[in-house]
Order: sequence, then structure tokens, then C-alpha cells
Amino acid sequence: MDAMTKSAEPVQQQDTSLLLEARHFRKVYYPTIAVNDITLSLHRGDILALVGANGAGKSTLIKTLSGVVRCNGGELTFDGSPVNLKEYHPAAARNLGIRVVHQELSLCKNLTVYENFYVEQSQSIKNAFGWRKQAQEMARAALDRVFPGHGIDVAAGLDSLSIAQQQMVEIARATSDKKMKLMILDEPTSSLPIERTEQLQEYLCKTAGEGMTYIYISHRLKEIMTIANCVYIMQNGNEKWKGAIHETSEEHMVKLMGEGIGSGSCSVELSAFETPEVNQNISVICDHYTSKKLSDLSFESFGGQILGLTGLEGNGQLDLLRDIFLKAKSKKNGLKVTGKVAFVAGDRKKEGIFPLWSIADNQVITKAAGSGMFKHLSREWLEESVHYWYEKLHIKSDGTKELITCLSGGNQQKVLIARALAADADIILLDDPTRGVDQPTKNALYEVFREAAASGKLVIWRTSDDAELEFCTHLLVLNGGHIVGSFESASVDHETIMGLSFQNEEEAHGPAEEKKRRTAPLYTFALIAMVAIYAVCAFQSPMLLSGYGLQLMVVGFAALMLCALGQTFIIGLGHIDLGIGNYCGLINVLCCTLLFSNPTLGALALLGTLALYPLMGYVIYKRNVPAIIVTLGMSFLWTGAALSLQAMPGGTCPEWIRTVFYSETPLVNTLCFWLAGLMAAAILFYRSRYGTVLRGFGNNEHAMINSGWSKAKAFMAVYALAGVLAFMAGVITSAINNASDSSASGTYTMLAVASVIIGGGYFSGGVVTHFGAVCGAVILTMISVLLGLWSVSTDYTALIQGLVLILILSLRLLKGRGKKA
Amino acid sequence: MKLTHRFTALLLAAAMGLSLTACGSSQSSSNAPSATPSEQSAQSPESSTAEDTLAASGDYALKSGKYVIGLSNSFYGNTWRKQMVSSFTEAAEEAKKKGYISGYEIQNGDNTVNTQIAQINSFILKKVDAICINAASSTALNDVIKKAMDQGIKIIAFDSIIDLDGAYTMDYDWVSMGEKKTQYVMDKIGGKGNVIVVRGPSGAAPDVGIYQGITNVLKKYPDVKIAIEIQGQADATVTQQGILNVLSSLPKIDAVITHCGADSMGVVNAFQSMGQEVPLTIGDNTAEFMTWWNQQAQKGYETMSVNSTPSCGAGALWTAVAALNDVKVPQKMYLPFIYINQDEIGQYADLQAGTIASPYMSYDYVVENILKK
Amino acid sequence: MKKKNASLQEFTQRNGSWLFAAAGCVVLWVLMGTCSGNGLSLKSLIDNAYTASFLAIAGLAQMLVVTTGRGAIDLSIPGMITLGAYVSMGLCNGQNSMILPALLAVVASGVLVGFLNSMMVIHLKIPAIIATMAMNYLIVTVTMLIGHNFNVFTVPSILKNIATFRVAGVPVMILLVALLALAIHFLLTSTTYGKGLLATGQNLEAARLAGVDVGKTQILTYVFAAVLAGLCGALISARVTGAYLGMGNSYQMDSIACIVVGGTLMSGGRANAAGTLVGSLFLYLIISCMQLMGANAGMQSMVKGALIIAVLLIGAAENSGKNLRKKCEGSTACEIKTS
Repeated sequence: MDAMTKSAEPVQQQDTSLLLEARHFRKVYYPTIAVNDITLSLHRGDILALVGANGAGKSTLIKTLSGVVRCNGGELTFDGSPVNLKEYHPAAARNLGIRVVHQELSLCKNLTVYENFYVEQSQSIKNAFGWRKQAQEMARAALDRVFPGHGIDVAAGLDSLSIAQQQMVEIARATSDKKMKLMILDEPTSSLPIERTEQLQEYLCKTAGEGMTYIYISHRLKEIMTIANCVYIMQNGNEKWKGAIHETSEEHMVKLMGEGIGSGSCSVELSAFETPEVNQNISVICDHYTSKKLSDLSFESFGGQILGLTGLEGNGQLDLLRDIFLKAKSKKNGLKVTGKVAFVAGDRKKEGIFPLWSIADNQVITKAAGSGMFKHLSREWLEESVHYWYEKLHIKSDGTKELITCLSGGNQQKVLIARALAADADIILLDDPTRGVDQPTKNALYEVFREAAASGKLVIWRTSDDAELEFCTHLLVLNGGHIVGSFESASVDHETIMGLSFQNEEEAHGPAEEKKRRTAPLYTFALIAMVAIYAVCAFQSPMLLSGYGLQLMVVGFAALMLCALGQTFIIGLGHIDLGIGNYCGLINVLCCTLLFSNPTLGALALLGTLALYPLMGYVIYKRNVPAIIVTLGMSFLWTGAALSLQAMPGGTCPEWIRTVFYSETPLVNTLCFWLAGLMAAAILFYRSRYGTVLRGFGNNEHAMINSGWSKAKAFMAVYALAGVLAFMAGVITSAINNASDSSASGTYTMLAVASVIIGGGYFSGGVVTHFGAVCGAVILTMISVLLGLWSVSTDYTALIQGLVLILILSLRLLKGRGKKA
Repeated sequence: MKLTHRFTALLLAAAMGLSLTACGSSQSSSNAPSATPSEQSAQSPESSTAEDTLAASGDYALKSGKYVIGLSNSFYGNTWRKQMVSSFTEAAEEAKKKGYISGYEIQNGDNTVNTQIAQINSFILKKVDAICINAASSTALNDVIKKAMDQGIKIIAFDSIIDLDGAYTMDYDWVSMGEKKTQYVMDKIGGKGNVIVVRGPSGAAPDVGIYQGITNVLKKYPDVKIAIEIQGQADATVTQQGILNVLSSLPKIDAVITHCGADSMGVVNAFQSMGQEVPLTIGDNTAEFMTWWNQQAQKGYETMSVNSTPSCGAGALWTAVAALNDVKVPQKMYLPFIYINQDEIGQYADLQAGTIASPYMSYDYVVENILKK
Repeated sequence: MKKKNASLQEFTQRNGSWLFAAAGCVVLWVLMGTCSGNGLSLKSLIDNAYTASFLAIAGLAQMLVVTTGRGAIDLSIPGMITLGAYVSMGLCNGQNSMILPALLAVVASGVLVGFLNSMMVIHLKIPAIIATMAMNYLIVTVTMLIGHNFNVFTVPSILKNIATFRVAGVPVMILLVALLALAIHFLLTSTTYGKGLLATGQNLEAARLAGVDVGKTQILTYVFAAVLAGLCGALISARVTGAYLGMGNSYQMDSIACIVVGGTLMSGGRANAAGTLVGSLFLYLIISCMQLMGANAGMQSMVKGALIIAVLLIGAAENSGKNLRKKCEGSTACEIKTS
């Protein structure tokens, strides 16, 4: 590549030596060649714009450059030294100084802005104390650097920021990496309003002038013209054009991307296609249809047509398809669907195939689902349908009984399409059906679609391969949720379509920065409820306001409180521990039996069981089995061990335990000190550096792993903490009761879960508080006291507690928070 | 979608409301259960309206008082307990009518220590004057009971007692009962064979004591093997289920030593439903067993029957009233068993279904048989 | 020929877990026979199968719920068993004429409970374990209320016959349960509901997009499970001539253990009715063995817990190892995303 001149800005003398050279990069996702012989050079200070239509290969190229994906061939030299591509992974790339800011945000929504900085850049924040200040300064500095006047409070929780602000945080965070030499930005401005985009551009240009190098992927050609100093256009995995910015223009780029589509890459052996008659009985009609991602769509399509949805990905095509399928039955908002609908998913693994089933079962499910619920589906009826389409689509396998996971991706896709066709649907929705499929198969599929249309069906086809637009009878080009172009097949002009797809709206794509209201702390409701219920109880029995009464109550909720604290850690990770109460019971029994009679053996046994907890965490991590079932199994083990040791309640608590944990002092019982201390310890730990990391794991595991944190360690740490707290619960129960009862603590399991939820916690997302859990535990205990004071039988306690939990969850849902509980 | 939400929330609220109203209704039932079997099962029917001569004057005189007495019953799930609570209620109603107490409250638990601690806590908070306790554990309640006694509440532990200074206890001599019936079995089967031992509610004093008595005797007969121990929970159905679960893998059983808390019919039913002959089984004084025994006796079936007296509930209440009136109440009291021999079975042929043979304990009875002993 | 061998191999692979359990049953039976000194008796096997058949019903109910996927477990089955027992005993009161109304009442309560369970899971988005746990508390309390007022001592003769009658030495219950398993197998393999259920358990989103009515399927499943559990309770109470609080409690752990051993996937999507039957027999034989050996309730609990975890871990290893091998080279099932 020739030496390039910089665009306008006056700069000082800087180093423009070669930074990166990628030669003959190749990546094949059989049968597609995603990256074909790409050679690319970057000099320091370059801002290279990587441009291309859908399926051009940009993302794949970036993934190979950053080590996320292993490439099939090529050489890479970075900063003068060659890179061993055989052992190239994301961590290695980061060490070299290559960083990527992806489209999907890799932030933890349950942490604050500066905490997100910390978890990613922990190596630069070393102090045990004062790390918060350091992180805050780092965050503030980064944001100020890139987006002056950002108005973001670095101590705000990330979920209180708008999407635009979150993206700003993500970008700013990447810039704080001091080792960084090359930053790759993948569509960084997709959610940013105009002012912020401009600030980002200024920043990029400025730092490029100081020697930083950028690769910038964007569909916004205007932006590219402003920022970049060189352009690299890809098409179908190949290099289409490269050059300096002044050698091109928006129109030039569009023209380049539009030419060459449809010629040669697709086989022309297909028979000439006569447009079939329009079948008015089947239709999809949109009349100013608006939904979350779509605005004001109006079009009509009928049976016999093949309607192609195109434009750049993520502009509403998939949403339209899904809406047509999911809302087919309801006739509101201007979307009217006449006819039976079938959907062929694009993301096979996520929403398409049933991995445990054979080809036959996968193929026949939609057909089967169309019958009455309990209708007998005869074998012949099903197999007939299976065989017909199996033959017709030439699915390559060892027979229809083979597991679908044995097939290649392309053949799996065929099965999914066969599924829709076999169901005799009138409207077939295709979500990029030929992705990852070889050419002969593609041809076969095009024939099938045409046949379907010829038989009067309506085919709506979202494609990411612009060449396929040839096979459609009508086209809709979507951009930003609007229809920006509507064509009949005769006038398919790729250049025009490209232009429409890339067209930028003048208004900011993202909404104006709204700052969400700062919400009250999670535990607010629980705190108020706790005080309220205590007040009601005290009203009934004023003794509760005295020290004596308070202590009476503390004794009542001590063990539950500790179990709840332990459960908080586990729910914070997104799991549930169904054995925590039983474990508490086991410790209780051990203390009053083994420990009492044989202190050494008892101590060993106690520590042994405690060690099992992090081991449990490790097993869950390693084997990837559902935590809920492992802990359920362990709960039987805990109970069983307790019962074996002590078939009936009894035993005696060692005297020293009683003295330490439950003896009177002039002020209050030592129990209160222990409870307060343990609660404080739990809260403080969760706020510490590693605690913040654990919270991050509960929200966005991948981001944490990518930042270099060990998932195994995190799991073990969380479970160890929970184990210790449950352990203390058992010890304290022994001290209070001076005896043990293996079955008494079983109820603490569900009560602990209820405490966490009532205290404001959520089952997933890492959104929990320890203080809230404590409030929840107190509330649940006071319920039983209240029932007693009202002379209601204690039988009802469990019921009321369960109902309270359900009520809280229902209220949450009705409040419309929209989060998964 | 919204409609379903509202519907669900409504349904849940309705469920909650229903259970709360049911709370209210069963509250009265827990205070005064509908059936009053203790009346009919009276052996020596001293009607409740008989003159309580002892209460009028003298050492055992009772005065009018505004006392509230609580009953903390660890477990309500079997016939024996139900009858016990009934008798307590009946006696309490009588005491209330006569003005000795102003009220009473009954709390039934689920056999766990935690629940009973909560019950006693609530009694403390309500400042009752005395608590009658049938304990879930002989040791684990000590802390909370001490707290109650610190507040000046009188504690009467009965049937399943606790071991604490300052509390009144009304106990059965479980050990001797266990020894007596085991010895009977040994004599009957000639000192060798296989037996099933049925246990009672785990952890409570009765089971501990009876089992102690059983093992005391069995130690002397090495040729007798315990084929299996069943957790019968002093309930016929639990016992039946337990035996059915294992019967097919057991050797031939020569005798069954029951806990005698109302579990004997469970043994009988288990063997009968498996088509086997019922071995020698110790009876439990229940109406059902007595009826069956009377039938079997005609075919030559011989056994003995024993049980504690569920009407000790009434006994506990009257003791509490006496203690509150500063009557001389011994710290340790003993309650009588009822033993039924082969030749006495005729007298118990017509007990009301669902009850256990048990004398009605009026205040006089309590004074004569319990306080004075 | 190759195809026949392949399908046999596939059969053993897919059903490996419970075939192993079936073999285990034989081993245990022989062991028990020799240990107890009674020798190998067919009667003891049949008697164990008889007791196991009640567990099998609970196991089949649990199997349905677990198959809905995403770690769903129905913890309200114990409560339903007890409730069914109390309702049927209480309403029948010993009279044959009341059997039909009583059973209808049991079914109705099962429908209500199942419906509420499914509503909590689907609309309130509560994890199934928590929702059913809470529901269990509700049922237990309601049962306690009923228990206070009912006389639960006499069984109507027809019901007792169903529960205890033997035809040529084989209890009617075993035949009944076998028929039930057959019916459920048929339901799962040859009806829309069944296929929809298996699809939902494998991948909820894919099932929805494939046209399965996932909501209705889940509701029906929870309802079936609750109704089966209630009827199971009614039959148990007929056998033991009564009902007592907590009679369903042991079925909680046991139902999960027997379906795990029987080859049903805890993560959902695969159910094995025949395996559940074998699993329940296996479990009861283990329990009987342990009791013969004098193991107390605690040991038994530990063994069951260890069994569940062991089968789970082995299953997890199998799934990851085998599937990795089976994937074709260069399969594009997961990687491609457009650039």
C-alpha cells in the first residue's frame, strides 16, 4: 500500500511506521469462504475504515485479527515482530496491544460505571484501599478524554444509563488501556447521538495524530468520509478496493459495493421464472404498522410472490419476520395476516434445531403441532411427509433416523426448511435460510422457494446475500425500521439498493440522552416493611420494644439471617442453593454430637464438610450441570448424614461454643455481635474488589472471562462464602438451642430464598443485596410472631411465608419492570 | 396478557384470603375441637358437672382468677394427640365456666423444635400465666423455657417432658412400661425368635424411655433378634406404611412390640393386607384394636394392651390451675398407664371409634391420683 | 444388516441408563434373596414391584414436569399426594357410592393446583422449583385444615380392591401402572401434545418458532402431574387404610431419583416412561436392601442423594463427550454470523 496522506488536520511529527501487516488471511466456514486471501497493512496513525455489505466478511476478519477465531491461513506481523497465529487468542492479542470494542456491549449492568472500569482494568488498580477512588478517577478521566461534557456520573449504576451512555462507557473504557496500540471499533456509533459521534471522531483523529491506530467498521459512509484516512472495501470475503480517503467518495463506495453482485457467483442454470399469479387468499398486509423496532410500515404482499427483505442487518428485517409469525393470530396495530404461517429460523443452534431428536422428528414437528392437541399422529402419516421432503431436498445423511447433530450445517438448514414446507403452511417466513449452505444446495433451495410460490404460497425471505435478491419477485429495503425502498423484481438494481441501505438519516439514530431516574436502593421496600411489621407486632405486645423482647426476636431469626446471607451470594451468581438449610442442620448435629464427644474428630468433620461447598461449586462449573439439581442432591446428602449421626433430636452443645456465641454480656448477648459482624463482613466483602468481580460474574459471565477472570475461581469463591455463612448458622443454632435437631433447619432453604427476593434481589443478573436479605429474613420471622400474637395457629406460618414470596414476585411483574424475576 | 396477570393475582389473593378465613375457623377448632371423645370413653364416668368437692375448700382449694393458660403441643398429627388436646380443651372450658381461669390458648406444632420455640415465644409475648408443654425435644427447649420462667410463667411439662429445674413435670414411667410389655412378649414366644420393634415420635421422652425398657429386657434374651425397627410416629397409618414397605424382605416375625401410642392397628392391617397371619402384637388401647382383639379372642388370640392416657391433657390443665393457686404441687409427678389384660377385654368392647381408653380427669381425680402421690 | 446393528447400538446408547438399572434390579433381587435367607423368591420381587408401583405414579408425574426443560422440578407432588389421600378418604367416608365424586374432587383439586403452578411459571416467570415449593406449602396447609375435621379411617371396598387386589398373585396395581406408563409413552410419542412437550424441553424458543403452543403444553403438563399425584395419594391411602400428614414427603426425593435413574434428562427434552418404572423398582430394591442391612433413614437418604448426583454427573459427561464427537467437521451450526 502506498504511503497515505492524512486528512486535513495539522499534526506534529509522528511515527507512521508500519504497525500491522496481515498477509493472505483466509478463513473458511465450510462451504463458505468468509475471508479470502486478504492482505492488509496499517501504519501508525491510520484510521482505516472497513466497509462492506452484509456477508462481506468484515466481522470475521476482525475476529481473526483479534484472536477470537483461528484463521485457516495467512501471516501476521505486528509492531515489527511476527505473530504465531497457531497460538493466537484474545489474551495474546490484548498483550500485543490490540483491543476490540464490539457491537454487543460487554458491560455488567449490575455494576456502576467505575466498577465496570475496574473489572476490566484491574491490573492498573492495585490498591486494596482507595481502589474505588482510583477507579472513579480513571473512569472520569477516560470519559472526559473521549466525550467531554458527558454528564455521566461514574458512581451511577450502569442500568440507570441510556443505551447511548452505555456505549460511551464501553468506548471510553477501551481507551484507558495504556498498552493499547490498535483499537478496532465495530459500529461504535450505532446508538450515539450526533454530538457524541462528533466527539468520538475528534478523539480518534486527535489520538491518531499522536500515534494510535484504528480500524473503524461502519455503515455510515458520511462518518467514514470524515474520520478515516484510508478505506478498505470487502465484498463476499474478497478485497474489493483499497485506497486513501481522498481517492473515493460516498457514491464511489456505494457503486463499488453494488457492482458484481449476482453475476457469476450464483449459478444461472436455474430455469427461467415466470411470475406466478397472485393468490389473493393468502396475504400479509401492513398498514402503518408500528412496533418497538419498526415504524410506520405499509405494504401488501400476496400468495404467489417471493418478497425479499433486504438492507443492512439489524434494521428491522428480522423483527418484521418475527412479528408476522408471532402476531399472526392477533389483528391489531395494522398487521393483518391471512393464512397459516411457518417460520424457518436463521440461528440454527439457538432457535432452530432440537438437538436430542432425529432428522425425522425435527422435520415433522411443525406439521405435528398443527393438529389437535391429543390427536393420534400415525407413524405412516408422519413418515410419508418426512420421506417426501427428505428426498426432494436431497438431505445428505445416513437415514432419517440419524440424530440431527450429525448433519452438516447446510443439511441442518435443509431440515429446517423441510419442516416449514412439510407443514403445508401458506406463508413461509425465511430468516436467512441459505447461510452457511453450499452452492448446489442453495440452488436446490431457490428452486424449492420458487415452486412454493408457484403453488400459490407467499414466501417472505430475509437475506443477507444480496445476490439472492434476483430470486425475489418483490423487494423491500429496510433502514432504521422504515421501508426506504420497494421494488418489483424486474427493476433490481444493486447499486440503488446499496445506496438506500447505506443511507444515513439526518437525525441521530439513537435517542437523545435521557438519564433514567436514579432509583432508590434495592432494599428500600424490605426495610420499610420490616419496620412496619415490627411496629405492628410491638403494638400487640409492647414487650417487643424492650431489650428483652428484641433479644427474644434476635434469637428467633439468627440462623435464618445467616442462611439468607449465604444464599444471597449464590443467587447473586444466578444459581439457587436448595441445600443450604439442610447443611445448616448437619453442622448443628455435628456440633452437638461429634464435636461434643470427640473434639478433634468433630473439628475435622466440620472442616471437611465445609470444604465440600467450594468443591460443589467447582463441579458445577466443570461439568456445567444445573446448580439447582446438584444442590438438591447434596441436600439429601446433608440431611442423610445428619440423620445417620443423630436419629432423634438431642445432643449437647460444647460449652465453649455457647460461651463464645451465646452468652450474656453487660450490653447485649454476644450473639448480636456475631450477627452484626457477619452481616457487615458479608456486605463489605461484596463491595470489595474481588466481590465486585463476583457480582460481575452474576451479570455478564463472558465479559468477565474476557477480562481475564477465572470462572472456576469465582464459582468456588461464591460457594465457599455461602458455605461459611451456613456453617455459622449451624454453629449458632447449636449455641442457642444447646441441642441439635437435624430436620429443624430444612425450612431455612426456601425461607432464605424468599428473604433474598423480598429484600429486593432478583434470580438472575447479579442484583442482590445482603442488607435486603437480612430485612427479608426478619420480615419472615416476624410473620410467624405476628400470627402467634393474633392467635393464629403456627401451622399457617409456612403458608403465609410462601404467599408473601409469590405476592412480591407478582407485584414486581405487574409493576412492569420487564426484567426476568 | 394483562388479563391473565390480574386473574392470577386475584386467584392468589383469594387463596390467601381463604386460608386466612380458614385460619379463623380452625382457630376455634384448635381451641375447641368438634368431637369430644373423652367424654364417651370415660371408664369411670365422673361427669364434668359432679361436685368438685376438693376445689371448694381446704389444701386444694381453688379461687376465682384471671389466669390465661397456654398449651404448647409439639405435634397434632395422631389420634392420641388429638384426644389429648380435646381433653385439655374440655377441662379448660370447665375451669373457665367455674371462673378459675379467664382464658386459654392452644398452639399445635409440626414436631419441630423451631415451631415450638416460636409458640413459647408468643406465649411469653402475650404474658400468659402458665404454659402446659408437650415437648418436641427434651433438651432443645430449655433456653426458651428458662426465659419464660424468668418472666414468672409457670411451666408444666407433661407426657413428653423436659429436664429443667423449676419446671413441673408430669411423667410416665416409660422404662417400666417398655420392660413390662417386652417381658410379656418374651414369655409368650419362649425367649427366641424375630421381633419387630415399632418406635414412636423420635426425640421425645416417651420413645427414649420405652426403647430403653425394651432393650433392657431384650439384652437378657440373646436368641431374640430385632428384625427391624419401624418409625411409627405413634400413628397407625404411618406404622402400616412402614411395615408394608419392608415386609416382603423380612424373615418370619414372631411378635411385634409396638410403641403403644395408637400404632397397633397399623401392624394388624399391614399383615392382613399382605395375606399373612398377624403375629403377637401388643395392643394400644384404641377402640379399633379392642374391637379387633375381641373378635380374635374367639379364635384363641392372646395378647396384652397398654397405653398412656391421652386425657392427661386435662390433667395438665388442672395441675396448672392448682399451681397458679399456690396449691402444693410436687415438682415431679407421675401419670398412670392403663394396662388391659386378656380377661378384661370385654369391658372395652364398645369404645367410640377413634378414641383411646382413658379416664376423664376431673380436678378431684387429678388431686387424688397425681398431686397427692 | 449394518442398519440393524446400528439401530440396536443406538437403542442401547439412548436407553443405557435404565437398561443398566434393570440389570441392577436383577442383581439386587438376587442379593436380597441370598442375604435374607429366604432364597430367590418371585413373590418378594413382585411385592417390591407392588410397593414401587405407587412410587412409579409419582415418578411419571415428575417426569412430565421435568421434561418441560430449563431445570423444572415439581416440588408440589408430595403435597398433592397427601391432599389426594385426605380428599378421597374424607369424601368417601367408607362408602362405595361416594367413590366417583371423591375421585372427581381429587382430579379437580389436581387441575387447580397444576393450573396455578403453570401460571406462576409461565406468567410470573418464577423458576418452577420455587413456584412449586411455595405451592407445596399452600397444599400442606390446606390438607392440615381438612385433616383437623375429617375422620379418615375407613376405606370403601372398591378402592381398596383396586389398591390391594391380586390377580394370580400379581397385584392389580402393577398392571394399572404398566398401563399408565404405556399411555404416557403413547402420549409422548404419538400426539401433538407429547411432541410439543419434548420440543419445549429441548429448546423453548425453537419450539415456539416451530409452531408449538408452548403455553398450553406447559399448562397441560403441570395439570397432568398434579392430577396423577392426587390419584396416587388416593390409591396409597386405600392401601394403608388411612391418611396422615406428610405421607407424601418421601416421594419428593424418590420421584426425582427414579426418573434420573430411568433415563429422563433433568435438563428436559427427553422422557422415558418405561425407564421410570424400572427406576422406581430399582430404587425400592435399594431401599429394601438398605433396610435389610440395617441402614437407618439417614443412610438411605445419603445413598439416594449420591445416586442422583452420580447419575447426573455421568449423564453430563456422556452428553458432552458424545456430542462433540458426533459433530461433523467444519459444522457451521454455531459459528457463522454475518459480517
